[in-house]
Amino acid sequence: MENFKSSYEINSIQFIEIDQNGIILDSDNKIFPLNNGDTVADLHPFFDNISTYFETNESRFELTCVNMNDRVCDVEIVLNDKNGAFIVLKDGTDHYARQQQVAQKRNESIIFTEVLELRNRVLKDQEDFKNQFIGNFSHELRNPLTLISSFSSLLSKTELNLNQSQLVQAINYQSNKLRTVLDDIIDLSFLKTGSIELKSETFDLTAFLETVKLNYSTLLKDKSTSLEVQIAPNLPKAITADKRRLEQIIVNFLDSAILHNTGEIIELHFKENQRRANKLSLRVEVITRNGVVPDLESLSSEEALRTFTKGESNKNTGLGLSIAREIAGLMDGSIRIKNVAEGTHQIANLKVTFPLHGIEEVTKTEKSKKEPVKLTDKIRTIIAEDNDVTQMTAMKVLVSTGNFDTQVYSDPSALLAAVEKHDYDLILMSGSLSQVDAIELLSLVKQFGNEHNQKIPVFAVTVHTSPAAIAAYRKAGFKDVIKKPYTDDELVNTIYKKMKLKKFK
Amino acid sequence: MVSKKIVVVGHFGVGKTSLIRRFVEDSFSDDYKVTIGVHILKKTLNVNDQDVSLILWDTEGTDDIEEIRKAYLMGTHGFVLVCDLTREATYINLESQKKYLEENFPKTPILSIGNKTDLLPKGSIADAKDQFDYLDALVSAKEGNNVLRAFEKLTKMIIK
Ligand SMILES: Nc1nc2c(ncn2[C@@H]2O[C@H](COP(=O)(O)OP(=O)(O)OP(=O)(O)O)[C@@H](O)[C@H]2O)c(=O)[nH]1
Ligand SMILES: [Mg+2]
Repeated sequence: MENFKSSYEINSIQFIEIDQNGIILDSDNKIFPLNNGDTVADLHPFFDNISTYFETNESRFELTCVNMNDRVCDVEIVLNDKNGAFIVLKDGTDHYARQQQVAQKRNESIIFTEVLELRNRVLKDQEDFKNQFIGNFSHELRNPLTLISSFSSLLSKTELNLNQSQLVQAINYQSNKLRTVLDDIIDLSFLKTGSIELKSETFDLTAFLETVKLNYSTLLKDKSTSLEVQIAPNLPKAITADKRRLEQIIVNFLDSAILHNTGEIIELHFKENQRRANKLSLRVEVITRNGVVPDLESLSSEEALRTFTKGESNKNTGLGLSIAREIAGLMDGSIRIKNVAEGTHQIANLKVTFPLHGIEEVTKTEKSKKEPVKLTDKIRTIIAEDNDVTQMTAMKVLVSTGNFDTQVYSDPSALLAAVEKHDYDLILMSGSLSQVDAIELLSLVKQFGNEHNQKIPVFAVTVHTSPAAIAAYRKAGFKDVIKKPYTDDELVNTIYKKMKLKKFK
Repeated sequence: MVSKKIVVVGHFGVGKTSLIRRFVEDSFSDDYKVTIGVHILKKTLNVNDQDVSLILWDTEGTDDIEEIRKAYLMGTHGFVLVCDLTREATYINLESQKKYLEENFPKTPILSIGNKTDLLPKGSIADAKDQFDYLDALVSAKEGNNVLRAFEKLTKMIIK
């Protein structure tokens, strides 16, 4: 019965009669005690504007949920024929108290979500800006660095006395180191903005690890350390993954291990966590038993810097672990640095796939010893480039081989005039020339060039080397993409590899 | 003494109650107590050598200005339209809210106010001024900046 009754809103109701000046004529005082002859405005400022209601065409007004002293009332004002009005106050205090609680919960949670969204957006904007900035900034550094790198390498191949050759080597060494840092920074900013995709290929695991080991042989010998590679026997012979990225993770582990190891052995284990159909959870583990590898990311920036600068290894930029973490994330995996007494396990758990029926073709390790190429006919080359530094770099590098005849064009129309009149064998085209994009420029070359020149290889030389950008260049008809910054050998060898050199011999 | 009705409207949580409290009692609380219905307070202000009794209607915050109970708005002499500078949802449709008021209450002055300037990063107020140049005043109920000035401005608009 009480419950049932309470489901009805039983309000106290007060009736008040006023004249047109708001003077109280009568009141039953059920809610508020009032005296006849007082003005209603004294009860509450709500009634301060009571005259408003006498000035309209309507005769009845309802205002719900008016907070009045310690009560919350619904107010009804009905004009009467004595030029005054009746006021009805309905006490809804309890009812509105419940409504207030509901609204309180609702508003708080909406505002909470809004603030959270905003904070996330601000953080994301900042992060994007930072990555963008770093990316652009790094690109700016590439041209001068390309020059330093390739010129010092060229110089080191000339006749120098011991002192000179040491100086040049130092320059070469440092600029290469700077190049690695730059590549890492750019890699990381790409990884963070999610503009890197993994490239899958199937390869033989043992052969792959042998190559990795081989690459470390000199460094390890210098440190009188050996690398012990163990592949669990139950692992498939071949796996499908992004080989370069996988190697990046391993290389990062090994670099840190070598840097901090004080013992004789570093172990590299490949194990299987579990598999299902052709999916495999792969565990890559690098173990140092003497020497603790710090987790740079969990240190304060100051500690990290100290640890990093102590590193003598030319490959360690301190960014390797961040990069490895991002890559592992792309491979649906994670990285863990586990410190044990005197040593460290660096672990990557990665998801890869493997061919269910084995593979026949096994990636062969290339070990061709490079003989300097000598051509009898020179390769007539156009360098289409509007940056002085890059022009000079490419020209010097090519001319120094004795195999190229170079001409530089920094203006698109001059370039088009040249390909119309003279025959060439090769064009190196920068990403853009006087604001004209390389892809557009290539189509113009194909359009205006003479018959001979329409068939010659054109290389894009650019800082835009994301997989998407490379694909776009290829699709547009570029023979290959040469990444800036390059070393002299990279530039020359890419050209040699992609050109039919027979006709120049 | 002339008495003028000012209705304070805007999204929930933008600081309508806090602004009025700062203006009337010169105090502030960090706690948020949702207003439902309407609270009415009084404050006398002296502008142009004239005492004006302001009846301040502090309304319940709404997502949509059209949800405000019409009866509350009868006989209004001036509106304060408040948004929270830190919450986009509260100022994104401020222009259309203002338009709604202008159409339904012609010739009634409206003062649009951006509240919580104290939460904007220091030094960004100048930038914010450009971004929020459609607002008549940037205030902080918490620190009290510009609150009195804003109400004086509206009162002058009303009695002129
Ligand atoms: N930092 C800061 N906080 C403020 C300011 N003004 C209000 N707040 C806070 O914002 C919250 C909401 O303030 P209220 O004044 O209750 O907002 P309202 O517009 O009346 O909200 P509703 O009644 O639900 O429509 C409270 O936690 C206040 O303390 C300000 O100027 N600066
Ligand atoms: Mg409120």
